[in-house]
Amino acid sequence: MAEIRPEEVSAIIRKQLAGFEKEIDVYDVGTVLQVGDGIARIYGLSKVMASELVEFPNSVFGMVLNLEEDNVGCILFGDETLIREGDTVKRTGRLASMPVGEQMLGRVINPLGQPIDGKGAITTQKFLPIERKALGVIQRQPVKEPLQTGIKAIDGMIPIGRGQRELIIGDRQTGKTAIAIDTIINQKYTHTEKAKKEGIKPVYCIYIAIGQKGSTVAQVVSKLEEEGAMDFTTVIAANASDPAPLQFIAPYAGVTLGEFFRDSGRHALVVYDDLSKHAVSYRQVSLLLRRPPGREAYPGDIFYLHSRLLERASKLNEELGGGSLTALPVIETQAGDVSAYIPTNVISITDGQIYLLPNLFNSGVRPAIDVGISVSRVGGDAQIKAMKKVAGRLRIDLAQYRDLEAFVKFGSDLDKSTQQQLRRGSRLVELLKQGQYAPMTVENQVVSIFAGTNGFLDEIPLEEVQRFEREFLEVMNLGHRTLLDDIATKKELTDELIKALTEVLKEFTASFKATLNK
Amino acid sequence: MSDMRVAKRYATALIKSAQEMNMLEEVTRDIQILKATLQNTKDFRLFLSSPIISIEKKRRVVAELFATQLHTMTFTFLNMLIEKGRENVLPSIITQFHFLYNEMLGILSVDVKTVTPFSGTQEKALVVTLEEYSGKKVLVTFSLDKSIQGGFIARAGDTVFDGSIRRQLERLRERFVRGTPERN
Repeated sequence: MAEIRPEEVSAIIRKQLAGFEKEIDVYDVGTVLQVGDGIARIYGLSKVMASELVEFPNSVFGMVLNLEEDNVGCILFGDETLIREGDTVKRTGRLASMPVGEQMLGRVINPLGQPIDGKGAITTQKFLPIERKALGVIQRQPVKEPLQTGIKAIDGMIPIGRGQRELIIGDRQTGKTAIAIDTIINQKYTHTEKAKKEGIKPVYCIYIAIGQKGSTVAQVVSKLEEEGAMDFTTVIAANASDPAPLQFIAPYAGVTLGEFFRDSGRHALVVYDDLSKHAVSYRQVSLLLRRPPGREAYPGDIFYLHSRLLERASKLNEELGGGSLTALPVIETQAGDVSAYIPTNVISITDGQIYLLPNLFNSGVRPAIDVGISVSRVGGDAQIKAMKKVAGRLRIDLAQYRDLEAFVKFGSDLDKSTQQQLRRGSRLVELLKQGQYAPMTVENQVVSIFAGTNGFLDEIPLEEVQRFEREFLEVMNLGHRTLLDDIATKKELTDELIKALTEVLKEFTASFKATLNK
Repeated sequence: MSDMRVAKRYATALIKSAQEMNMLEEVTRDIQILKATLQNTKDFRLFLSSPIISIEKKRRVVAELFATQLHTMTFTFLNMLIEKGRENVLPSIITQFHFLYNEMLGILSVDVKTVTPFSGTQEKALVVTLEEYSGKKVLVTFSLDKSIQGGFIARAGDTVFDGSIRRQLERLRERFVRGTPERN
């Protein structure tokens, strides 16, 4: 161990003490009138700004939400038991803000930017206010790059573009979080050398858990670590046991971090899991601050709460670096009621929704996406041409199948073409089933949907469809790698590619059928 | 503190009408008398805030105490408070009255805390500095507080000018804590 010289120590202390001079500290103060339920009312603080940070004793911080005639309403981010009536509150002069930087990647933090994963302090250079105005029209450009979720049903029929806001909505236990997590895991591909060659830029992910169980968050984090997705992901957790004010600012903190990536020309994906709980925590705070309740007791500005949050998702124009921020808000419905207040609000704000149904989930169709009412209003422009070509047919076939589904029980009494449509539809539904944590690359998706829509599955028994797909993809990846690479780089299904693909499929189907007869 | 709003309204009414009738001087003097009485006599404080004592009784007592001492205007005001059942707000009204009075005349009232009393020159220097800073006439009240350890704390409304040793030590501590190298 190096020797510590006393004179060095005293030199350092002297240096630190150099600032200890006769200077007068000027600050504004107020007095706590009332504390409780995560809010405080303060008398004084006459020049305080709305959403300014104020400091209580014992380094508890709060944010000003209400400015009234004779008091200031404030939400508390710390332990309210440390604050007493009559305590002095100080203005900090800065708006509630969040530390941002690459150092946040791979970490689990709370909405104030403090680490909660026990991996040490995070040192960042930059602070950004958590409430920022969304970008205007001039700074934006239409969504044009795809954000691959790795899920066939979504990338094929409800494509999401970078900069889009796509809602994931459904009852409890229908796999909402699973879709979000799979999407994050699939972004691992964008960080590889191969993606770079194909011109795909890396996507940085932010997963915001609002009002969830600590154990669920821990599970998500360990899964992301296991899949190697944590290297480019930040998890922001405001758990069920955290104060409502923290849950309320969590999505804003997350989107601020996302904007940091977007504004530096990179791509970010932000998952808000979930906004119904966010609305509930905001309702709590609002009611305690005595703001008048409206429908379902939510305050009048609940729509604005979510619209200003989701409006911050955007695709920047090229002068600003062309970065993007994609938002995947999650909403939990109660017994399928999408016409409740919060679901209708968020549906109208977003650019489309992925609707998950419990009965599909229970009958084994997973992901349990209802492709009939799930839409993506802008993502289609972002789909690669090859996918557009094969998926167009998929949508039509499935729509026809849904119309005829009720007649399945009549079986052989139906005419030939109806039977054919039913056979095709049921096989496509089977084909779109996909396991959790098993994202597929876009070229694999293209060839497998190609097989389905071109009738190669029609002769295969329903229960063999998944094995067919698995083995077919194996053959493609082992024996016809160049074909897949061509699709990935050209992003188009040229006539030669279609011809080659059909050849491979014919050959494979024949050999597969041979295994069936045994 | 819920009586704050009420107090402000009564105080505004009093000061406005006093000003209109050109009796601001007298009313201010009366308010000082009331303030002193409230501060010095515990019984009077309790008497005013007690809801058990009837309005009639309160009026009689107040008449006996202040009828000759106070100007008619203040006396009527006091009676009106009793009539309206707001006599318990009187202390807040007095505070608000002072606040409004100072605001009207452009006076900044500053509370200064020190460990040892200020000398005459120190006091003058402080007043001059504060007057320059605020652009208002400064009225200083001094009090002693051992806990600030040295220097002074001046408070004008919500703004604190903290030149105490206690605060400087606090800031030094903050700086040391922040300067701690990261533990990894």
